[in-house]
Amino acid sequence: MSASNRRPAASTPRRYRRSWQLPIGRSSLRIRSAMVIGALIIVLCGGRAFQLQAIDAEAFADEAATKMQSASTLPATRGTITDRNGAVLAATEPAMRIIADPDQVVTNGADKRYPMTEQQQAEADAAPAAIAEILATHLGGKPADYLPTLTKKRTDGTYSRYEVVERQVPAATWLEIEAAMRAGANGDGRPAWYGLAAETNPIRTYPNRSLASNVVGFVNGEGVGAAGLENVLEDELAGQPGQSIYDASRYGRIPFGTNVLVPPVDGNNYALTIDNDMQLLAEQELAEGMSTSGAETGMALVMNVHSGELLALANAPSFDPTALGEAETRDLGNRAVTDAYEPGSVQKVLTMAALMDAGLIKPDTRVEVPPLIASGSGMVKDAFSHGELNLTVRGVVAHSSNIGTIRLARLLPKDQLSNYLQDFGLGSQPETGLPGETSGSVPGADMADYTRDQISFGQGLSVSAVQMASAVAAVVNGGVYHQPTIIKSATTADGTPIELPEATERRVISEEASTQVVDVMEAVIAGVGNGSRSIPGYRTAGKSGTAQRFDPSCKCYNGYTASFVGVAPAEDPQLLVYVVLDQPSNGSSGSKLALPVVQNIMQTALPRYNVLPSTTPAPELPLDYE
Amino acid sequence: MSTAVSFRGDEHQPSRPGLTLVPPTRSTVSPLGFGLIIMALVVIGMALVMVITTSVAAQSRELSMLRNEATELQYRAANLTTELQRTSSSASLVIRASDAGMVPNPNPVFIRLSDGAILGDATPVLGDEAPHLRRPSVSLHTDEEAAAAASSALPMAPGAQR
Repeated sequence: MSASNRRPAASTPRRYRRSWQLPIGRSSLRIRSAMVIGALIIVLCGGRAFQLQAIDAEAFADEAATKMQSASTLPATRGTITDRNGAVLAATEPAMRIIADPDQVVTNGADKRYPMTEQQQAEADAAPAAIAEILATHLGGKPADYLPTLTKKRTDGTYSRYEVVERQVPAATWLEIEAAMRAGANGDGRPAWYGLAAETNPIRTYPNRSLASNVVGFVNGEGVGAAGLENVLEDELAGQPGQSIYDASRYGRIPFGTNVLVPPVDGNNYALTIDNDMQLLAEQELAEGMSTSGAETGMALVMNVHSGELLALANAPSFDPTALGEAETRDLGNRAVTDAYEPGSVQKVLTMAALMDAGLIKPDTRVEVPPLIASGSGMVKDAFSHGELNLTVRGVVAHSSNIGTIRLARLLPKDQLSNYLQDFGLGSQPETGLPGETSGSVPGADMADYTRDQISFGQGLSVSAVQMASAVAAVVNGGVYHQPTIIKSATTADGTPIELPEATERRVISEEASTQVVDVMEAVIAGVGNGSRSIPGYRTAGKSGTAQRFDPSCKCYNGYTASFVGVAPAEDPQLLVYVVLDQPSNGSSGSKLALPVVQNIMQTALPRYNVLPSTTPAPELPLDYE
Repeated sequence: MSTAVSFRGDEHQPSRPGLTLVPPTRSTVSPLGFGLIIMALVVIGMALVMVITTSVAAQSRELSMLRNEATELQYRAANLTTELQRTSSSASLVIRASDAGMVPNPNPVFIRLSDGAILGDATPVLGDEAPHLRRPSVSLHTDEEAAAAASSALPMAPGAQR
C-alpha cells in the first residue's frame, strides 16, 4: 500500500479552482453571439456608409469631380484685315510651339518603373539623332542644330522635361512631324519615337509683307497688336477665348459625363479702304521719287475726293512685318498721320478757297505783285526774283507767288481765315481710325499780322499729310469736307456686318468757289512748263509746295519739304494724289521732285478707277494782265 | 373534394349546391424552370446593357477620331489658304507678270462696250515706260525677288519697235 495512492479522508471534499468556461458547446449561445457580432459589423458599416454618402457626400463628390474634370481653353481666331477688294493684308494661320521632353527623348518613352531591355536601350540611343533628323527635314537646318535642345540637362544633371524646339510652326507641318514620329525608324511604328509635343501658338501672317505695313501694323511675340490698326483694334480683332469642360479618365473622354462647351468668339474682320494694287503702285512710285530726290522720308496718298476714302497711304522708308528685326524703329509708325510739318505753297489752295468763298476774289482778279513785301519785322520775297508783276489770281497761284498771296490774304479778316482753316480740318485730329494722329496747329483768331501773312503761303502752321489731303479734297470736290476714312467695313466672324461710326461731312465753301479754285489749280499744270507737267489723255490740276522745314534740334529752319498735290480730272475731280518728300538732297522744288511722282501715280489711278479721258482741252486762261 | 354524404334521414334537408373537388393545379413551370427563366432575363438584360454601353463607348471613340481628323484637315486647309494668299499678293503678281515678259502700260485706253468705240489715244507700249514698276524696288525678301534681282535685262514687249 503506497501513501500516494491513498485518497485523502472523505471528510474534506475535493476543492477545484474555479475556472471560467465558455459555454461554446451550447449552439443557441453560439448563434446568438454570431448574430450580435454580425449586427455590430453591419451597424458600423452602415453608419460609415451613411456618413460618407449622406453627411460628407458633397465634399467627396466635389473631389471626385475635380479629379475627373478637365478644362481646356479654346483660343479664339484673330480677325483678318483685308483691302477694299478682299485681298488679305493680315490673317492668322494655326501653328504650334514644338516642345521637346529630353527626359523622354533619351529613354524613348520607356516606362521608368521597369528596367530597360537591351532592345529598348538600343532604341533610346538612336532616338535623339532620329528625332533631330525628322525636325531638320520638316523645319529646316541641320540635325546637329536640334541635338543640344533634345538632350538638354538641368543644372543638377538630370534631363530637362520641357524645352522649346521651335515657335510658330504651321500646324500642317506639325502634323507631318507627328506622323513621322509615329512611323518611327522603320515606318511601321515599331519602334515609334517619343518625346515631342505641341502647344498652340498661332502665326499672324502678312501675305503682302511690306504693303501698307505702316497702316496695318504688326503683332508682338504673344500675338498682341503692337502698332497700327493691329494695335488700335486689338480688342475687336482678338475675340474671346472659349472653354471646354469635360470629364475624362485614363481612357479618354467619359461619354454622358459633364460636357460644357463655351465656344470661342472669333475676332472681327476688317476691310480697309486701301486698294492693294494702287498701294503697291504708290509705294513703287514713291520709292522712285525718294531715290531721285534723295529725300530722308516720304509719303504718298491717294484719296477719293467725294468720299474721303484713302485708296493708298504709303510711307517711305517702311518695314516688313514678317522681318521686324531688320526694321528701324523710326520707320514702324505712320508718318502720314503722326508727323506734322509746315505745308508750304500747297496751303495757297486753301487760302484762295477761303477768299473766293468770301467773295473777295475771282480767278481773274488782278493783283499787283511787288518784288518784296514787308511783313512783321522782315521782308518776304518770292522763290523766283522778279520786278513789279501784274498777275491775275490764277497767275499768283500758277507762279506760286508768296507776295501775291499775302496781298490777297490781307483782304480777309484773320478770324475768318482761321475759321476756314479749322473748317477744312486743320488743327484737329482727322479721326481716320489710325493711331497716333497729330492735330497739327493752326493759329487762332488772335494771331499776329505777320503770322497771317505766313500761314497764307504755308509756313507758321503745321499739318499732317492726311489733314492736308482731306482739306484740298474738300476744296476741289464742290466744297464739302469729308472725314478721311481708312476702314471701309467690318464684320463679325460669322459675316454679320458691324455698324461703324458714320464719317462726318460738312460744307466749307460754295460750289462756285470750288470750281474757281480748280480753275486756278489747273493753271499750275497747263499754264506753266509748256505741257511738260500734264499727263496724256487727262486734264489735271494741282499745286506744288516747297516749304522750309523746322528742325527742333536747332530750333531753326533746316532743309525743305517738297510736296505736290494733284487732282484729276480737272473738269470734275474724282481723285487726289498728294506726295511729300522730306529733306531732299537733290534740289528742293516741289514741282521738280514731287510733281513727277504725283503724275505717275495719277496716270495709273485714273484708268484703274474707270475715269474716262478728258474730252476737252485745258483752257488757256490768262495768268497776267497788261 | 366533394363529399357525397347522405344520411337516411336526409330526405327532408334542403338540397345544397353540390361541392365538387377542385382539380389539382398543375404549375406551368417547375421551380427549376422558373429560376432558369429569371436567370435568362437577367442575362439578356445585362447583355443589352453591355451592348449599349459598348456601342456608346465605341461611338464616343469614333467621335473623338473624327474630331481629330477634322482638326487635321482644318490645319491643312489653313496651310493651303496661307500659301494661296502669298501667291496672290500684289508684289508676287508683279514679279510673275514680269517673268512672263509683261510690262506695265501707263496709257491704257477704254472700249465703250455699247458701240465698241475706243476712248483715249491708243499708243503701243515699248516696255521702258516704267522700269521701276517691273521689279518692286521695295525689298520683299521673296525667293522670286532674289532670283529676279540676279537678272537685270529688260525684255522687250512682244511686237514693240523702238
